[in-house]
Amino acid sequence: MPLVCVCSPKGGVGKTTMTANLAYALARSGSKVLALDFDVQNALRLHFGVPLADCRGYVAKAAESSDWSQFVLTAGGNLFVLPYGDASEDQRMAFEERLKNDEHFLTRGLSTLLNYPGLIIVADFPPGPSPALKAMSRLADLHLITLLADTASLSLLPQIDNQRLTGGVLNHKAGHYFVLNQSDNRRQISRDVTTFVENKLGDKLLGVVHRDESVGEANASQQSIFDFSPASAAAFDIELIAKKVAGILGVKVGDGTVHTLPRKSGF
Amino acid sequence: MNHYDDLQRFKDKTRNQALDFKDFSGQNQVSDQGSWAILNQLQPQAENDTFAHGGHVSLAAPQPVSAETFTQAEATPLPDVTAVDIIPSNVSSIFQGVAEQLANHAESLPMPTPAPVRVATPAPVHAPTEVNFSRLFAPAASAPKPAAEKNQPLNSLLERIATCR
Amino acid sequence: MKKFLYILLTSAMLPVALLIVITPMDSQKQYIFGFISIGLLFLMGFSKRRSISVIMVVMSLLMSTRYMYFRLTQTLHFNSEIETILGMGLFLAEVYVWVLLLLNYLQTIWPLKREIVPLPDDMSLWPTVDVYIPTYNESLDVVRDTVLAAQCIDYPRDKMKIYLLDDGKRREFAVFAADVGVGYITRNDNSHAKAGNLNHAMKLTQGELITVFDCDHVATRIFLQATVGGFLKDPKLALVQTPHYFYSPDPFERNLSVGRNIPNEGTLFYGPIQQGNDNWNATFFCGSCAVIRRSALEEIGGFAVETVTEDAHTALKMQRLGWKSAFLDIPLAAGLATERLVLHVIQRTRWARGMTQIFRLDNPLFGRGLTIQQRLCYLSAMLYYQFALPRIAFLTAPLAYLLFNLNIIHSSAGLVFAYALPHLFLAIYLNSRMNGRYRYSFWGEIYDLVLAFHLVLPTVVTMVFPKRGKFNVTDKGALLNVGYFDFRVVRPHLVIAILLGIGVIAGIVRACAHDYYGVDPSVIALNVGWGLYSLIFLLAAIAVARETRQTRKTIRIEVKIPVLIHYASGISSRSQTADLSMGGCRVELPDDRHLTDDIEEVELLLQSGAISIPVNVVATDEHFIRLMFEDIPLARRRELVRVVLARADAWIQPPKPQDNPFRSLFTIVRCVFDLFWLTWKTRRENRRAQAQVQEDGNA
Repeated sequence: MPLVCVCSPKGGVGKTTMTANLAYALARSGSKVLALDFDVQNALRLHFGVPLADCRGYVAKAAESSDWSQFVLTAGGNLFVLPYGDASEDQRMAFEERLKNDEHFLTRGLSTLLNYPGLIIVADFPPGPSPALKAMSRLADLHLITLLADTASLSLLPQIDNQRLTGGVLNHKAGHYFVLNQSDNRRQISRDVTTFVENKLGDKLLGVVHRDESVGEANASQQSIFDFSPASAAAFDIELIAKKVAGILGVKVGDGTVHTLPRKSGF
Repeated sequence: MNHYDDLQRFKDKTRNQALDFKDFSGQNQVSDQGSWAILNQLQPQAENDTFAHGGHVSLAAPQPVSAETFTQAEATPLPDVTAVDIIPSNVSSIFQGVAEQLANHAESLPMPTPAPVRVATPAPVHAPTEVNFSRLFAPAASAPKPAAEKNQPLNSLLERIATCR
Repeated sequence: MKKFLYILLTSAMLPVALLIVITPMDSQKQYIFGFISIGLLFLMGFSKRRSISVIMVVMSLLMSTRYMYFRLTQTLHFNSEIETILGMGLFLAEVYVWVLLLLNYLQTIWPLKREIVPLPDDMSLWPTVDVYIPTYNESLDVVRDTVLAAQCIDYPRDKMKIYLLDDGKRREFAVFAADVGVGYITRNDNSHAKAGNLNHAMKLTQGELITVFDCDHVATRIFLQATVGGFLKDPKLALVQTPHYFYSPDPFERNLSVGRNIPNEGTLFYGPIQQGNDNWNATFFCGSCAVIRRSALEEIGGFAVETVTEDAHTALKMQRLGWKSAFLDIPLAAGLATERLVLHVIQRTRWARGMTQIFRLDNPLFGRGLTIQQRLCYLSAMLYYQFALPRIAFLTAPLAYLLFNLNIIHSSAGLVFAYALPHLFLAIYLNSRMNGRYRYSFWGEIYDLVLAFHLVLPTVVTMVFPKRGKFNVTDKGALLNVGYFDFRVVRPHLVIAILLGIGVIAGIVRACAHDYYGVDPSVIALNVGWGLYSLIFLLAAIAVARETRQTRKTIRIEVKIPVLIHYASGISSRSQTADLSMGGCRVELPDDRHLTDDIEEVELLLQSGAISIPVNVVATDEHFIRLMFEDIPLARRRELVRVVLARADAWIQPPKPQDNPFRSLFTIVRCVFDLFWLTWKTRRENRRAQAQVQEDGNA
């Protein structure tokens, strides 16, 4: 049931990578996870080993089918992915029309998945405001706003406060948190932005992911960062974020313990 | 272990968890931080930091254009056109064109344009016969000229010389 | 009411005590008496309570006083002049030990475990602090990190000022102070050395509190927040002293094979003794790692300049005027221990002279302003430094009989032993029980023996002429390039050791043929036993002179700090350190990437901030890689200091395991054995190396 929306006012910040690796991390710790792609780029599936030529997805037939769970692909173990899929311009526009006009379009199509007990859904959205984001926001337990550690991302922070992403309050349940990507202490701007964000956002900053080539290489290999390079600095950071997410969602993992939100002391 | 929290460990090892030690480590680090325009604007500053806003000190924040900026006037030859046309063919007449411009505009050239000018000039270099987009970005003849730009003419002069090589 | 009960109790116990002390017994009864008391002690030993310790202390004192009474009344009969002199000398040495035992018990019977007094949340109430770092001829390498660590102290910037007090008036220090942003003070002369330096700085600064750090004492960031609170709470508090923790090994730790497994020499003083002092408001100021109230210092006219231990004298003066002092037993700063034995001897000689000077010039037993407990605490410290002659007396006493057949104790060996047994046993047992985590049994003998011969002259001369002598600064930070045996320092020890050896052998010979020689075998046994006992400790003391090579300039600290390894390819891996120093670190290898990919930088992750440092690979094995830090600018070096040396928990270690006297004795014997074994081994290796060189030369 828990639904996490990974979004951002800015493009190119690593939302899709974050979504995929977050899904992997949550799955590794024992939960059933579905990675759901709302972005026409259709890039989420690539992180799960779906071949480039594979154009399966739910959007093309969304208007006709009442249950989109049939389009879900397995990614091994308790991990699943529902790709956007290849869609013609007409199919895409029809999908967006229905999204905008039919209030229950999404909830109907995803109802089996949304109601499956214990299934964590991590959804990836296109940058900025979008009909999908608006529609899903009512249902989301948690929003994870991804930003890069640079001023271009930072300059869009006010857009979130000003409710420019959905036109209203972003998250109605556990609230929205931030994740800062590609932080590099060796670079002045990155360091200054990271410090700034840490001071300004405080506990709202769920985690900082260090800049690490491994992430790009993992993507290129179509593997999870954890499998590709377990020693990766970014892997550690994402794992930590996943634990915090699980804590916020109150997810009981494996042995039934509930992980409370870890203290900033970092133990 | 995420980051090594020495204050917490101190408290644990000496069994003083109730104590609240304040972290002043930011004091030294603040001086190393740069002062970036965008970050400054995002800080809720107490003081009146008009200087912190906007770009470089020598640049004023962009202002609304006047009504006549984009009206297609037949008579007024925009000085840049001549300068720009001349660039591909005759190097020495750059200086001529610029000198004319300086003569025409006794005060200074409007400033926000050094960059756009830099961008504009390569286009005509490659397609001098096409529509002159540089006209759109040309310094307006009657644009407001903010004060304290003594360096600007020299800068744009040097830039033009640099870009035409 | 309670007081009345106490008085009643003591007056009831007094005749009983008297009886215990003076009742003479024959050998058999005394043995039984002794064993009963030892048995009682063991039974009581099951309880760890402090009140039981008090009872044990009383028992120990009774047994020791009984022994002294026995000695006084029964054993002081001599047959010749020489015997009288030696015998009285020995007796006086035993009196000294008895007095010191009494004083020591009083000093440490109830150690005060002080807690940190928190500062108020409102920072405007926090007092202003001046941090003084005096220096004279130490190198900038050593002082630099001290200054950087002081800058890392967590305290509002506008309330803390750091000053480098340079009596060497060196230009590079001035430049450094300007670069890093601390004050720099010099003066026209160098009168009164460090105290004069500090007094001069006091005139130019205004902080309400003054903190002094020796030039090699790096502070942790928590130093002020842990110590300053007390000054706000108690307006009569003048001094807060913290332990001198050493992050480099002292000569004992370095040169003895077992050195690292025992609590080091300073632990006793900076543990039970200062805590005991603190209970009686008699905390000593130790010259560094302390915070002092300026107004208190001004009242006494600044730091004391009359003696060479200006620190102890300063505290004494303040206490005379009614100021309070405190000791916080948490290591909040760390420094370098004396590098070599000879430097250790020089340092202790100065302390001994200084304490003797205070004894002569400002005797704590006289004069107003001190409580009786404070007087006794200071007396205890001062008398301690007179140990040279008594120690030598004990050491050489068996020789009187073994070599010269002189009887300096008029009694049968059995009887003496019967009286001495409970006296010694209880003292050792009790010391082990009370201070067992801070000083292992018998090690005090070794520490004292190492210094004994060197302190005789300085203490005696200073006692007679208190104003004579120069002040030597302890040399800190020099590198020991090659191992060697410092014969110079232990020459007198060697002489005595040889004599003892001869004596023991002579004694055994005579014992084996005792009929022929007509001697009492038990007397020989006693003297031979005593001689052997002394010989073991003497040899252990000699073992400290075997200086081992110090291979690196920076000291490594074992700590696990998370790191990011930044490779040239842009990959960043996460791992943790195994050890860390200002020069580099050893990191656990997460994988084999380092074999093909260059490591450019290493980022240490501390909660208060991360620091990234360029590195070079020094060595690697299958689990770890050793990296050397490249040069970094001062601002970054400060961050490195923050991680390596100024971490709040950097020096807090769990205490060593509880002492066991038998195990301790065995450890010492092992030390002695290792002295011979390792010396022989290095000789053999050197011979082999020489032979190899010769072979290579010939080939």
